[in-house]
Amino acid sequence: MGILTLTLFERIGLIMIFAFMMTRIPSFRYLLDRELTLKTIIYHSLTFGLFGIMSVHVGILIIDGQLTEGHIWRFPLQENHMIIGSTLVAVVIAGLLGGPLVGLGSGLIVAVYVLFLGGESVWANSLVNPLSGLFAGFTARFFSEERVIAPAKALFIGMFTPILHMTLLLIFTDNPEHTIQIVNSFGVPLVVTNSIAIAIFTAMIRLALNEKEQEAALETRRALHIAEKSLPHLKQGFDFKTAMQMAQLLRDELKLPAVSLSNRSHVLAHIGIGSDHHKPGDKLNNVSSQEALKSGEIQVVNQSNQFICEHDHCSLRAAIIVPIRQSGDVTGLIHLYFKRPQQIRAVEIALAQGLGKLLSNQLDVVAAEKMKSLIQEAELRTIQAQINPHFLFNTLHSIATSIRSKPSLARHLIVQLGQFMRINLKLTSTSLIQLEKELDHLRAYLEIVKVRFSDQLTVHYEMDEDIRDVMIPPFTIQPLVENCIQHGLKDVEHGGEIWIRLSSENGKVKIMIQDNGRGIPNHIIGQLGNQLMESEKGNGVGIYNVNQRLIHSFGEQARLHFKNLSPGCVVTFRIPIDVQKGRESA
Amino acid sequence: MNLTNFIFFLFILFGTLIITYWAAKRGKTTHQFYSVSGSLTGVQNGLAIAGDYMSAASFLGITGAIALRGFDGFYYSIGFLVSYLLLLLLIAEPVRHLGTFTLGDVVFARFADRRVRILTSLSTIIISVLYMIPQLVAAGLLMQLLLGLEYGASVVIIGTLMTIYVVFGGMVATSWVQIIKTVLLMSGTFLISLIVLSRFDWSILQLAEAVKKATPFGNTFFMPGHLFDNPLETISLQLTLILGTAGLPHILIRFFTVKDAPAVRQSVITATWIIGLFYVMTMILGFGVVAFVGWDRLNSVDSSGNLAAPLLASTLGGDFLMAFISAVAFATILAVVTGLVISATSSVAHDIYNHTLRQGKASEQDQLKVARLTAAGIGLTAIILSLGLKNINVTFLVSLTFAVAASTHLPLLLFTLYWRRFNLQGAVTGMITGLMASLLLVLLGPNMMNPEYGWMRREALIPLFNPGILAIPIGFLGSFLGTILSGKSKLTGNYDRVLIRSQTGWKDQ
Repeated sequence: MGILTLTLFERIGLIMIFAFMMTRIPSFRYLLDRELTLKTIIYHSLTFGLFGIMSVHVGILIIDGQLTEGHIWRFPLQENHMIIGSTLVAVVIAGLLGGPLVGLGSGLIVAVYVLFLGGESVWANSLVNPLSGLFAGFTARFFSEERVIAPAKALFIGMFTPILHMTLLLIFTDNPEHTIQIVNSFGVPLVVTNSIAIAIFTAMIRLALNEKEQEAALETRRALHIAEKSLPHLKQGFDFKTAMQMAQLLRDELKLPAVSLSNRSHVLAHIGIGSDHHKPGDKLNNVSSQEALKSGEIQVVNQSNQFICEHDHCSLRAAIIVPIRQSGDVTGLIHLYFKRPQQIRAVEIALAQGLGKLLSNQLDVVAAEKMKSLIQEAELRTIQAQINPHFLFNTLHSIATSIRSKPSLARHLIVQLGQFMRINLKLTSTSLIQLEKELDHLRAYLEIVKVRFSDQLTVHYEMDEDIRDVMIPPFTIQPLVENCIQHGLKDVEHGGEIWIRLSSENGKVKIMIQDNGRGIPNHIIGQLGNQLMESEKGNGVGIYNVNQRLIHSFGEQARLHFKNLSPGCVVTFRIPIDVQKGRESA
Repeated sequence: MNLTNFIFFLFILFGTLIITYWAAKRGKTTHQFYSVSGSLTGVQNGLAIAGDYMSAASFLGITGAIALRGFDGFYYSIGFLVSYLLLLLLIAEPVRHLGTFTLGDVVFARFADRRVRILTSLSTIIISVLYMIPQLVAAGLLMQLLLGLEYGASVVIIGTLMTIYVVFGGMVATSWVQIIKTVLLMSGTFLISLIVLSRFDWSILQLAEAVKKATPFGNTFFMPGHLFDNPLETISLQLTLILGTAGLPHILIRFFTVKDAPAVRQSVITATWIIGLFYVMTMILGFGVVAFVGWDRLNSVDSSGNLAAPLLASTLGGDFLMAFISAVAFATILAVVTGLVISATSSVAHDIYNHTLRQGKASEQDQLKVARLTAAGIGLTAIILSLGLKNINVTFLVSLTFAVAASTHLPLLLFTLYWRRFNLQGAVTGMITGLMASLLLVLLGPNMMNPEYGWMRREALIPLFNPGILAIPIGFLGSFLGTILSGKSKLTGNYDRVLIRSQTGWKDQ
């Protein structure tokens, strides 16, 4: 029994070599996906059927129940000849991988062949094939949700087909005594060798599939990694400096001989081999680059008659040219250079394609972001420039009423209004101004307002000397004070007071605006600054606008804080003293 | 143990342990552990139920009984099979709708009382352990005969394996061990039946002719009367088998492993078909034994008939087939005892530990830890008991198990599901009287009291080996009287809600 088992293993070794070669064929690997159509079922059945027929001949010849050594080709067999071996392995694998139909199909092919081959117990030997294929197909479906069944399970399922074979021999025998003897001597070795062979085969196929999937996963990861790393460079636009950084990044990540980046007409950066004659600023003149620019499709230069470089001694013989699109138009090219055309595999092309798409998308995202902030800024400017029309009318009205009785006051008002409007216009064009300037603007505003409110309003300033030059977004303090006057002190007949306190605190300017009015109604204090308010006076955007601009410029820590006091309320916010820096990082 | 046997034995070991490993890897929740998260399909569960149910006694015992006693051997099968009708029509679906993991859940759904949960759980444990011991003892003896292992070694191996399956793989491993066993058992018996028939030109009539000539009973082989000569005993046996099966906890908890009522019906129908076909095949095997092994030879080798099927395999296919059938028998035993371990385990860990000791608030990890410890404890206890009981005839425990199931669980379940007036007092009285009656009747019966070999050497007070015909009515009567005599008890539970939920699966929370 031991010797027989060893011999069977040797023979199965031959089959295994062939099986290994099969798993190396790419088209075979791709066909292993479980989505089966009639075409793939037939294809699989044929493949495994032929494999099975080969396995038949690799088996061991038995004459009159006795083992014989050496033989490879006998056709047809004589009455007392029988071949045993690994025929079932192919059929069972077919069933395990392709399901019952493939199992049955390949089993039938083998069965027909065995019928022609003839020999002892031909019916049992033939019938066992389709039955095993069916059995393997059904059990695989029943026991496993995996694409390729686990080798351990295959081992277990694999043991039953030889048992089925032996039983069929017993069922279709004319000479039970003789068959029992055959079953007893060959049964166990067949069970052991077949099940192990099936397990090894499934392990092989799993390995092959894993390889394929892992390769793909690796490439995907690499492309994503590059896209992620290139994002900070792309944000700064596409110029000589960033192109250099990008080219360096691509060359390091892809481990290529050379990488170059260009815009529509010129090379922006070239890194790696050939940088002696590939220089930034060179014109793009080869045909493939023009083609890539024109079509927007990826170009692969790997033919000997296409030259990627006209320089005689250039060792860069092949390239992939990846167009980069921005908002649909090709704005640049990436050249991935290779030394030999053979180095460009399907993987590299797919990677380049993915990379091109990713980078293009990144550029679009960056552009969209930029556009968004431009629009936002423009919107803010418009709002800033608007003088509350009520304020203008009221002031004009005040001037009109005082122009006869108090001409000097009227003059003063007109001067202040002019000042106010001039600063207004000026502020609109800058995004940051000195605190001093902002206060001038505020004072001009208050001068006008005070005339209307006469003795109702007192304004106190408290300001640390060293923060005069701190930069602050324009129109931040004035709207808050305006809010105090219009809402907080609205119904205060006299004695209305406003405190404006500006102090430095831990590297920040703390700005507090306090009044002694009626305070902020509780139902809106939470929403204040976070959403637009309904307002009968003004445009209702004042505080919201200020808060949003502060957050936009300096981050969350600069937001407005409201607190009710008794009486009145206080608004506080803090901005960094080193404003220029704060602006950069925001 | 010869090499052929050893290799097949290894294969079974390997296959089941792989499944346990795979089961242990998949999810570690109590749902997964007790009920496979209800993820089995109806057909899978049907196969598992069949695997849970068809014990080595069915496979080896009934084949032997048919070979030795003719038609009467087949009697067992009828009872076993009919009970599935009862399960299908009255019990399976409501049990699935009301319970989560155990029978205790089902009863608790109506009475919401801890005592009745504990009682149900206790009787579940009693049934499981009482059934496990004869299975293990028989398994030990069988393995001794089939594989040439020592009795002690056999019991320890099987006991350890069943414990490992449950401890590491819970219900997942149990189910798949049972499914594989069913597939093995069905294909094994089917193939041998085919060999038997092929020797008679595929004609059952020729086979019957040959059998007629080979047995000493001649033509009467196909008629009743060679095993059961006492009609009362026969009826009692059938009644116990039919009603007992419907109350076996390890079968009932299998209904929690599928997702809905159609799947429950599908499982019962699949199981019934498989078990039915299996018994038809045991008949062919039994005939085959008579025709090929010979009545006299079987009777002289093993008068209990347990070796009938392996002997047949050996005659038809030599060592190879014999080894295969022995491996199938080994798997058969494993699957049944594993089912019993998980049933006892879920009762202890879910009903007693979680719901009684911890008021249902134990964490998932604690529950699983206790369940694993319980399984290990039950396995160990069963091994030790079985080792000690080697030389004692424990087959009466099987009839005791069925009697207990039929006289406690069945009245409890039927009344809980279908009787509006049934109350807590009735439930408790019924359980206790049913249990006591079964125990007492077996104690006073010829299993225990026998002038020749009994534990008590005297004439039996009750002349019935199978006391079901007395115990079952007592159990029902206990429940009935307990309910009626407790007057207008308020403890009738939530009958309307239970009725709606058990019949439709609709949950109102």
